[in-house]
Amino acid sequence: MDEAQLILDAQHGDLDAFNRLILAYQDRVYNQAFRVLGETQSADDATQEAFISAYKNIRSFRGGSFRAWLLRIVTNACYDELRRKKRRPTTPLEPVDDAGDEIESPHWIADPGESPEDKIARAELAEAIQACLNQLTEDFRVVVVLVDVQGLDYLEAAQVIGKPLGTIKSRLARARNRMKECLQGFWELLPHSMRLDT
Amino acid sequence: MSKLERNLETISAYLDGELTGHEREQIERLLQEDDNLREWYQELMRTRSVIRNTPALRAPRNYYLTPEMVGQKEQPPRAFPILRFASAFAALLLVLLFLGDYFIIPRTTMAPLMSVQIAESVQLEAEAPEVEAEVLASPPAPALSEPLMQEAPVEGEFAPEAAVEENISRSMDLDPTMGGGFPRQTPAPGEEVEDSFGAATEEMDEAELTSEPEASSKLLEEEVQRNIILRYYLRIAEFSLLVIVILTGLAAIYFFRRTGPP
Repeated sequence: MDEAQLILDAQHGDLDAFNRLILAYQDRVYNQAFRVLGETQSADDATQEAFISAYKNIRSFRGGSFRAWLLRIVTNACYDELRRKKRRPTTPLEPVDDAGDEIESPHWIADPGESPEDKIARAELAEAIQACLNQLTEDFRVVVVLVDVQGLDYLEAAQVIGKPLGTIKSRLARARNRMKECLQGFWELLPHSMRLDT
Repeated sequence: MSKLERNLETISAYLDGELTGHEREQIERLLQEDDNLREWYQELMRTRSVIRNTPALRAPRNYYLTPEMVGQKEQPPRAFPILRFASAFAALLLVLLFLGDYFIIPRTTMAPLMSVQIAESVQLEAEAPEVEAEVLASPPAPALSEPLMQEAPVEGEFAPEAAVEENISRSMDLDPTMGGGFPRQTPAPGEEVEDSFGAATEEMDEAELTSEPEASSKLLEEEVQRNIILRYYLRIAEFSLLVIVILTGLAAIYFFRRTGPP
């Protein structure tokens, strides 16, 4: 069944149809939440909240990009989560090894098909990118994740955050520039073809 | 906004192909002329490439929604509107039946009963003179018969037994329709002459009074029976409708509470 039909069915209250849409989009939505929030538990909560909110408001979807519409909802959920965190800051539980020391890189989330070295390198790169993303302000982070991680064009990104194209262009350029500066500190983690000149 | 910032924005948008034709020509010319800007452009391109190659995470679980999560009640069965309609329709029918039972049926069913009662009372009234006559005839008979019996042997030298037999035969002759009539059990010996015609007319009246009410009472009885049967069926119908109203109503309430309005 095509996406338009599933959306139509969901708009008529068909929860099964919406669950099929969830199955198609949950990775993207979770990625957006994780990249913006920077931690799995909050991302999980925000993703669930976003889908619940999306189902409740699906009648307000008037066509266009469903992906952008969903990303807008999850982005708003992320903003809510960030505001909540600011009000009640918590210390996330970091994974620990057998000796009880904190594990800096959560290697278990990597692809099990990779070699152990690749797995570690990939995980560390992902962590480095995430660390740089976390250094950005929320508004910059959201834009760079929307355009560079999710692959949205400027117009879609503008629709998601509800800002004009000029704002997207400006925030994205600054965010990239800060990411460039940040990633230079992790140059040894980058694949050779991606290493930045220092 | 400084020139550097403006150039940064333009280069970033150039990387994404978001510039117009004129802006693109301008920035391409600048990139050819300015080595620092070109180096900056390359670094920005690599940064963009690194971010875009960020490994995509898979959702740690499925985010399927359940009806409880979205506050959605279970879908009511398709028969829900039928149940509601059936309940309302049965209730309406029940009310109509009660109204009909109360205002219409009693008149039609009570009328035959009343007419039967009237007929019975008429019959009793018709039988009353006969009873009275019997009551009146029997006790004074010996008193009246004595002189007659005494006179009879003198005048006609009739034996009392013969007179009685004659009277009986007369009375029987006078009442051919009754097939021999209804002979008196104890005819007074002195009464036979005076009372023979009167007795015959009384018996005729009695026959008329008894034959007509019997026929009409039979009809009435049949009608009463029919009404009783009708009433019986009405009670069954009312009871059945009541059961339907209660059951369908309860089912509708159950589904309404469980699933909410359809």
